[in-house]
Amino acid sequence: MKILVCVKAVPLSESNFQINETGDFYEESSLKYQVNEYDLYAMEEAVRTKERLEDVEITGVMVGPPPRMEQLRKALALGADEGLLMDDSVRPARDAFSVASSVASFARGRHFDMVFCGFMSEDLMQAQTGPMLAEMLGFSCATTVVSCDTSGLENETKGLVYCERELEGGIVEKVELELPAVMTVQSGINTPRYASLSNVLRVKEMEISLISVADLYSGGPAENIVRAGLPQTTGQCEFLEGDAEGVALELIEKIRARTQVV
Amino acid sequence: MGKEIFVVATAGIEGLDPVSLEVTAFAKTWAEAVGAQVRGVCLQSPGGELSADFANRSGLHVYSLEHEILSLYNAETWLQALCWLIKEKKPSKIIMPHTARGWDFAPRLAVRSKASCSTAVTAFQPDGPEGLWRRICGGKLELLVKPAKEGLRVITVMPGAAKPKGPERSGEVEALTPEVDEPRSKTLGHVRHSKGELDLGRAEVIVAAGRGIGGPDHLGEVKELASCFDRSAVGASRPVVDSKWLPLEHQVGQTGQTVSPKLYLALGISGAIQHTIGMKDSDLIVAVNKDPKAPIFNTAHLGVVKDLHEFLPVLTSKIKERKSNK
Repeated sequence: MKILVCVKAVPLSESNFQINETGDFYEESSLKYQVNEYDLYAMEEAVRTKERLEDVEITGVMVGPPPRMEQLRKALALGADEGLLMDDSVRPARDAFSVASSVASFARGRHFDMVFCGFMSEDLMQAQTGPMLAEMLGFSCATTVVSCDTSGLENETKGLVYCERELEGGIVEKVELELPAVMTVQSGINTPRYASLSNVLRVKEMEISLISVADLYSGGPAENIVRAGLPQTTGQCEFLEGDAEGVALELIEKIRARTQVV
Repeated sequence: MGKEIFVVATAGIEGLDPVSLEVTAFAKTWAEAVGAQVRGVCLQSPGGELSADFANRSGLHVYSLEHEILSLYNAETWLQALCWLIKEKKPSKIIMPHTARGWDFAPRLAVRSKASCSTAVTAFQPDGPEGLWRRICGGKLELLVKPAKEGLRVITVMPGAAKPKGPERSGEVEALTPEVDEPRSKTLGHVRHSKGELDLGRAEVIVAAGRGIGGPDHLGEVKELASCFDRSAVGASRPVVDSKWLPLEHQVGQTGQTVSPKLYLALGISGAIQHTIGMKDSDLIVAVNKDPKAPIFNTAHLGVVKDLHEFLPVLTSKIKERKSNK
């Protein structure tokens, strides 16, 4: 069984984001990066599936510039067998269609049975790449998966996987997916392991292929960014300044004046 | 291609999702700005009530795609039915809520119908032809996006992006039968995860913990503060529930509960839009966070930029002092 995991490197969420010089994205040069949280869950889910079933090979892929190789290795170190970086440094892939097209181009003909993706990236927050990839490959798809039951595959019955999708309002949707399938995972599906030292060392030595996105997908972006901006604040937030005691007293007074709950 | 904007309504086990009416309001305002017409779209089994309900509450002319196979939501059948409708009616835009219903099929619909796809949109560009705004980086920045090519656009709209308006008159339903086959993958049913005993909607004061409280060991401080108020409850942001510091029943936000208490205290919560949707209508929102750029301050009325562990105990003790002095 072959599993593909899509991984993205994103800036730390607590970063101080500034708009770049061209005014169309966040300034990237001074940022620190980490593996997209949702993709860690995706890789963890793939590794758990591998532990449950026999004869499973996990391939991790990332679209990004070569410096992000570090984050790809971090994700692979959870237990993947091979990795590939699709280098987009010539023209950064900021739209999901380009990313999905690149991954689809790689995946076609390689007979993956399952694809795990994070449900969205922490920076662009679009939640498009996974489902687009499914459509491009002609795979089944379930998004915001919070539980994935592959036990049916142990008996080699028909290739069916049972997923639970998280909907709003505490409702969960149960789906039966026919393989091959793409599953995008939501937080809460699992708690990723700490990579074992042996895996970290193995991945450190691993030859990770590098391929240019241009060799996989030569169409342009499907969506263009016109400009980046700071969201309008309502301007309504009044900041209370001073030492803790003074601020606490002032806060209590304002709460009392406006709501009478204290 | 015509100039019609289609609003695809979604439904849960309790019927029409109210967010469909927000999307309707968004579409109507956008349609006015670009000189287009809005039509509703519902998918249901023949004889279902959803389409009539949507037509009444939205005032739209609703295309009711009816087929036995459509009785339960399924991404594949929805894709087939909507692609069929797109071929028949050639809309310029097709819009749905950015919820687990909408984002499940919107990107796939875009690929299949060779359309562009913009998701989690919060506003259209009022002074320009076709741009859409969307938030990134946890809400700290926003981008204005446009499709790279002409053609159909598939769009999902963030809940809370527009306020639903009662229609001037009821719409009407036009039943259509799309071509739909049995899907390969099946929807088996729905389960409601127990909401537990906690109904946050009854609380007058909600003290909500975010990742910034630092760990489950610090929940005691949060609970102590909550206990200073009558009719209070402890809330939580999603990361706190995912990390299992608090159970699901405390979660406030898009996938948790929506609340509007008299006082909402957001402690160590960054304020991503998925959370603020669930509490932005609270009478008074107070945010405490050591990051002055946390997006929560765009929603809060009062802001305190301090370390929670220094500030909370002081706040709690001052409230208690005040109570004992009364």
